[in-house]
Amino acid sequence: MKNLSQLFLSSLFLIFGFHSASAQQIMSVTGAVIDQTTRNPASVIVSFYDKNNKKMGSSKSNSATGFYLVTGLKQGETYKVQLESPDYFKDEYEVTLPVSKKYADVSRDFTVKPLAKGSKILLEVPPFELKKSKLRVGAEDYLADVKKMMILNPGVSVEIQIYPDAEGDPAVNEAFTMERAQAIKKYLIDNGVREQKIVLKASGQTDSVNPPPKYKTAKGKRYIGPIYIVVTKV
Amino acid sequence: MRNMLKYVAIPIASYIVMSISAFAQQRTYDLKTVGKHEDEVLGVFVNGDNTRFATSSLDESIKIWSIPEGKDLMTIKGHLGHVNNISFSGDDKQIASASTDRTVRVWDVATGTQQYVLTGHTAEVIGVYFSPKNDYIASTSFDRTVKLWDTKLRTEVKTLRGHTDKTNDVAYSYDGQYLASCSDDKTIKIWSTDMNSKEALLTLSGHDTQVLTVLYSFDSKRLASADEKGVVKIWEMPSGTLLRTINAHNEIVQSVSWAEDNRTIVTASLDKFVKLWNSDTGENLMSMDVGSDIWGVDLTSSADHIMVGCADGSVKMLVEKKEAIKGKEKPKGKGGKK
Repeated sequence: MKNLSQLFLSSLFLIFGFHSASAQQIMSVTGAVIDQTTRNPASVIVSFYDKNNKKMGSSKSNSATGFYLVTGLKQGETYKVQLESPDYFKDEYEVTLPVSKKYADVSRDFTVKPLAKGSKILLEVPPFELKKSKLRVGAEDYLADVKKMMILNPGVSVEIQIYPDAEGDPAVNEAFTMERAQAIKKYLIDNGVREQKIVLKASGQTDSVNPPPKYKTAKGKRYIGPIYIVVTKV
Repeated sequence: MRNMLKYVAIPIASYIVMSISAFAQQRTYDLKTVGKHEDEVLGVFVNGDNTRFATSSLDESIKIWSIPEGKDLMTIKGHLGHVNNISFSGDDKQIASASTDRTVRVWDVATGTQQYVLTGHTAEVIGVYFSPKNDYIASTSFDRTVKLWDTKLRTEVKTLRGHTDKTNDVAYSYDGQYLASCSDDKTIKIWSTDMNSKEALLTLSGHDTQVLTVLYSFDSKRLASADEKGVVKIWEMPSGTLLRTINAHNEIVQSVSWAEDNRTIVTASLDKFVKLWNSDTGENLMSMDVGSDIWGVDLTSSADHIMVGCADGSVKMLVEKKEAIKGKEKPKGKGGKK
């Protein structure tokens, strides 16, 4: 009888021990999905895929807050995160979870771009220096986002609209913005986007919607001529 | 005789005492330019033992300088955008930097090599600050969030949400219990550093325009904030009671800093002035036109050296005049906390 109770207790310890060890391996990911153009919350399906492309968890982000929560993910694993919705471009990110007993969840935010003819997506980090038309060092990191958008959504065509950094001779400004537009187009074509999918629109006038400031602006708000990706066909 | 004492002697005596007191509090400095970045200097940060300061710039670089010589020791490159702000770790061995390239990067101060990159913000990163124990880095971004990064795991662990517009700056309290963040939504939010809390503990309202910077005093009992109109506010912490409003400058104030006495603050502005204030009384202790718009300012513990980063790319140092500091206590250092 004594042996039996010892065996029972050992089994309990084993079961709970195993369960606890497993629990330490599991982690949740929580965050918000934001519309890149409006910065408002977006409702999309957020799915996590493991390295074998097996769906490991999924959640729909809340339309009012953008919040999502995906549980049951393994610490130390790298996941492909797919964002899908009829209203937004399909998008993908990669997330690697840390190995830690300290956290039950970690946060990751994502942005999505509206999928509608006429939607105007601002390139938030300009790939050019002020008054320069050559792609800056590292610009590829940000243009890769546009490239990914067009390759994951092959039916889409876009117009690249570029405005100058400051008021000036319209002809000079237009030549300058066309040089910038050509540089972006070349990057996209060199990286697998079909040429027919891209139209360029270089402006000689500054952007009336987002004009250069007439007063001093705070840190991080230095003005560089806006670049928009306008969806012309979905 | 009694009336004479009341109406003449006492006011005269009071005037003399006040004059002596005001004179004693004035501080005078010599201005020198120690070097230049290739573009506007945005951030300035003095290390804990007052031997080095770092500057960050629109030219995408960080520079490290010696104190008191002002010697340009090192230029660090690696960001792919403007470096908006910087923070030394408490042990002075690392620098964290915040950039328009949407990353926070951590650098080894001795070698200038990049140790790791923190990605996760969805817009430009503006503010960055090491926790007092160096276990976390906090950052703010135009994506309206404050993010916390675990420095050991080198990953994002928490996002603080609540600001309704771009978040501009962030600072830990030196006791490690609180975080303050400020925003274009005109508020300051105080957060617990307890990793389980999700909501802000306090929202401080009072600025009537975008709040650009916040910083705790060394005893964690006060918080200074500054805004786009040049107004500086002093708050009692942790209660969040407004102690004082100082109409400090005529232009954007992007940077404030405390001296170790927990009373003296330095402010600098795009109006080209750097100013010292007594935060108890609001008294202006020093005012100097440095000839260029100023984005960043910091000072040594005793305020005998003030470093400024200017829009013309220059890095300037204000050195307190020797006769003015004679007999003063030797600087104790910031205790490795800043």
